[in-house]
Parts: sequence; structure tokens; C-alpha cells
Amino acid sequence: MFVYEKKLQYPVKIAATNPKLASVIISQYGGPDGELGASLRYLSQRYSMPYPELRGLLTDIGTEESVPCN
Amino acid sequence: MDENKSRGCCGKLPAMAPLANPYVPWQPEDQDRYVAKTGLIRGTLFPCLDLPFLGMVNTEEKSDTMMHQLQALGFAVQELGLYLDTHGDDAEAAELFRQYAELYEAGIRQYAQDNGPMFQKQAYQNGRYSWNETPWPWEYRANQEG
Repeated sequence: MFVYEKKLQYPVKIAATNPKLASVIISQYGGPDGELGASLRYLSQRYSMPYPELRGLLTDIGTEESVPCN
Repeated sequence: MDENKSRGCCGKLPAMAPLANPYVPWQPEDQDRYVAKTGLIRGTLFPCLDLPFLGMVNTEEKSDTMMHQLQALGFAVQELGLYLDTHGDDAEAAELFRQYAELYEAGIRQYAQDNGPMFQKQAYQNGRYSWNETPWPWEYRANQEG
């Protein structure tokens, strides 16, 4: 269960638009080797993780990795 | 035509060669920590993990707006939480986690009163449901101040 926080994790101030850079950044988030994929892999891997402290860690990292996509 | 070149590779590895052996140093206890505000711009709360890419160091601290303070506090809670996942016996870090989490909670409550809900559960304000009224974080006007 996830709860949305209506704020950015880190302040962003866009001085000038740059579609080329935006395209690179969005694929870093949602692309084939992006954070969204990593997030879901962490969250799936935790089900078979035998060490309790790493179950917690996978949960928290998996959650955090999805943040830029929000 | 050279066979290797045509396949876009050069050189050969034995079949059993490992590609690489990565090592991650175990993070020690009893270490220094940045204050939340510094941690936010350094990208870590822990000086021993602060290894800037190509030596490029972000030293420009954010202003003290309510939102920036919340972002710093939220980051500190996140960092200490990840650390405590694998260092659960570090009482000092646990106490610091408690303090930051308390400040963060209080800050979120104050922010919601002044600027509208940050969590949906805070969305009943002034006799109505106000979740959709404040700008979403990715909208331009949400990032005008600070």
C-alpha cells in the first residue's frame, strides 16, 4: 500500500525548457533500464529475500526508486 | 572482412571469465552525519558515503522556505530509515530518526494548514474536499516560489 505525498522530493526550478534533455531524463525514469523498472524489481525480489533486514531495505529502496516517477 | 569487426566487438574473453567483481563497503556505525539541510544538497546524510561524481560538489544550499525545510527533513528521515534497516541496533541513529520524523510530521501538519493538503487524508479543509485545488508538484505554478 502506497500513500502519495503531494510534494517534490527535491526542489526543481526549470530555467529553460529543453525537449532533448527531457527525453533522456524521462527514459531514465520510465525507459527499459529506468528507475520505474528497478523499483518494481526491488519490490518483487523482496518476497523471496530470506534476510529480514534486507526485506525492509528492498521495500524501502523499491518505494524510493518510484519517487521520481511521481 | 574481419569477423570480429563485423560483429562490432574486439578482443576475446575465456568462456568462464567473470565480467566484473563489485564490492560494496559495509557502512560503519558511529559516523558523522550532515544536518538535514546539507544532506539534501549532497544527496546523502552520511559524509563517508559522499563521493561526488567527477569531483563535482553541490554546495548551493536551498533557501529556508517551508517546502525546502520539509524536503530536507523528509530526506533525512528517508536516509536514516534506509540506514536503520540494516543497522537496527544503532540507538543514536534511531533517536535521530525519531527526532527528524517528529519534526517532519509537525512540518507537514503546519504546511497543510497554510498551503493545502500534502496527503489525501488531510484533504478535508474549510468545509470541503480540497485535494484538487492546490497545484500538483509537476505543474509550473507549484514551483514558482523558493
